[in-house]
Amino acid sequence: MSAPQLEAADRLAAGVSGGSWIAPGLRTGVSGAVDGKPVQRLAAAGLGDLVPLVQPLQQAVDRMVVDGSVAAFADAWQRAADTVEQAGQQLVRSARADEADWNGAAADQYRERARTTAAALAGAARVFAAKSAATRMMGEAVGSARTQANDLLDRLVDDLISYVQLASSAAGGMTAEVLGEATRLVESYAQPVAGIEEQLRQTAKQLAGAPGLGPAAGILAAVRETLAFAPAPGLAALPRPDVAGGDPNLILAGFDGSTSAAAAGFETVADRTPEGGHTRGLATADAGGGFVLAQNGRAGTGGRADRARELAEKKLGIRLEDWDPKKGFEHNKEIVKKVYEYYAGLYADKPQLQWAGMAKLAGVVVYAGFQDMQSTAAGTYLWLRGIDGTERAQFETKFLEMHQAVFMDLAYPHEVYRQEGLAGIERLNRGGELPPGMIDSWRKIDSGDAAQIAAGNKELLLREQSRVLQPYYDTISKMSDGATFTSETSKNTTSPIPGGQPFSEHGGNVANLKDRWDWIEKDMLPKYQELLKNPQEANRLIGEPLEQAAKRFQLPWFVP
Amino acid sequence: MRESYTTSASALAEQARKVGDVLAELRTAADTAGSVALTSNAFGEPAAEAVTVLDRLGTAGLDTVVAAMNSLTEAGSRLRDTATEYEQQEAAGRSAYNELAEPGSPGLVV
Repeated sequence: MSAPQLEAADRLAAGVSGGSWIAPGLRTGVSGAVDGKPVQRLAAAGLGDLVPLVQPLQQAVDRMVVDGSVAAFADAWQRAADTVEQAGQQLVRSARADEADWNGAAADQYRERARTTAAALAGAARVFAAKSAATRMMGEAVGSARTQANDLLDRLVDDLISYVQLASSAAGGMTAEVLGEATRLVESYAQPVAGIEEQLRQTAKQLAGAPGLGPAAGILAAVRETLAFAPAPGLAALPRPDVAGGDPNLILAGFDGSTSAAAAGFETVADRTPEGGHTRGLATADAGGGFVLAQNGRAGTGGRADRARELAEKKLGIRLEDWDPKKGFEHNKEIVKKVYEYYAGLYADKPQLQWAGMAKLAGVVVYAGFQDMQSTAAGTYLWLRGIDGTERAQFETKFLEMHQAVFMDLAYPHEVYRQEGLAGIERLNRGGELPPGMIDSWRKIDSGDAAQIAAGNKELLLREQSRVLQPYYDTISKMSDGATFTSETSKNTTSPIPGGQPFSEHGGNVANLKDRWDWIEKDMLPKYQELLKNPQEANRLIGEPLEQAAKRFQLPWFVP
Repeated sequence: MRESYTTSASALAEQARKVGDVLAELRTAADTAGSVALTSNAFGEPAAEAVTVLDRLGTAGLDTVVAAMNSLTEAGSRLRDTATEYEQQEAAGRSAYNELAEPGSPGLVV
């Protein structure tokens, strides 16, 4: 977080505590206990007939209430502010502590990262403190308004009792003239009470703008941007020491955090070990056998994977016991097809779901690759390179696991978005069912702005590549003959986008995240965006039946 | 050209542990902030808009704490990975050195 942003957080805090957003009449700080209802004194004085006249004013006072949640909310956010600020300071102190034992480029970067993180946390803490102060001050403004309005009402009742008793006595009873005068008296008080209520409305409105909390959301967004890490180690190239036998500094290279990868959706500990008590959505079948997302229910430790399994079963009609990557492609073939066609359906329903459209196009290439692997020619080709049938089956299993893992990670939020829009995604986020950091990507996808939509989808793609697929590629690379297999795969991987460059022309190894992402970012994504500019052609390609499309991508010498 | 630097697996592991402590602090903050919510009538009907504003900002605030937790989780993870790699290198270096070095020579310097 930059110094100007931290200054913005300080300005926000100063603006809020300055209180200029509060209507002048409510800044008195006068707020006392309001005992009983003044209107009730009329009945006690034998003037119950006047109660309907005064009741609207009493109701106005009754509307000005502050409940117990206000103090609890303000206290909690002040404590959160203190804790976050202290956490940042603790981080910097810790990073500085071991300078003698750890120094060099990576250490410098780590410490710089710690300082930046601490500054971001300080910015967040000040916003939280401002929010706490605003909550408390808003409560005080309501209290002040209530006290002032109640005092007016008290005076009105005093005046009414005094006047009506005197006038009735002189006129021999509650004549029309006395009632008319009493009515005028009530009206003369109604106006200032309404004025107080209006000041309260204006104050609440001004809280949302500057110098209230208006800038707060922007400051917090900047903080989150600052806190975002590079998507994965190795993507940020750094000069590094010549370390034999390993490259630990490469792991630390990502500390420069320069890429916009809030997006990659790094998981928190909480995310990895979901706790009970969060409200989670439940997927249930509707009467028509469709898939309806319910918003209630509590789940234990199931979380996202359970939701994805329910989606597969109830929406796609996949028998989960049949979806077993270890049984190979032929066994899972129909499931693979269903999943890719499902992605195409998502895009067809909501064209802003660009990741889904690309997943279908990429699926065509993957499906063709699976088919190639079944051919005798492919078996012979790989055998000549030292990869026997058992190893080939193991690699196939890994790719089927990757296909399944992508569905488990990304499909359910897509279905929620299709059915409920951003509100559903926000609900998932609140319930801890969205990978942390992903909410911003979905907000971009929902923004209606073409550049933002593309950016949000790119972030989903980055998550898929770095978080979901890369661990599998790492495993494959370490398997027996994994290097040979990934090398062969790299030679034969084609772009799913018309006019796209084959991976081999780009260079590198497809199992390497940096190489793969470079190819995607520099070639595949720009050409995909070009394709999307022609919606008719994009719909045709994405909607093309998988089997038919895959024929174009099968390697001629492998086609049986 | 070789860069100058000093490190040890234990220094990195210690940093990772400290990051874990900070992460725990943030977890406390998230729990604190996540445990409260304003009722829809918290400020009464005339000031209901204030609830909307503060509630929305509460969500953004929690998102931010979660982002900070993610950031530290990733930092801790990278430190741990790096410490592990150094441990492996140090072990390999010691093994190689034991075969080649004179008794009493200093250990592996990276």
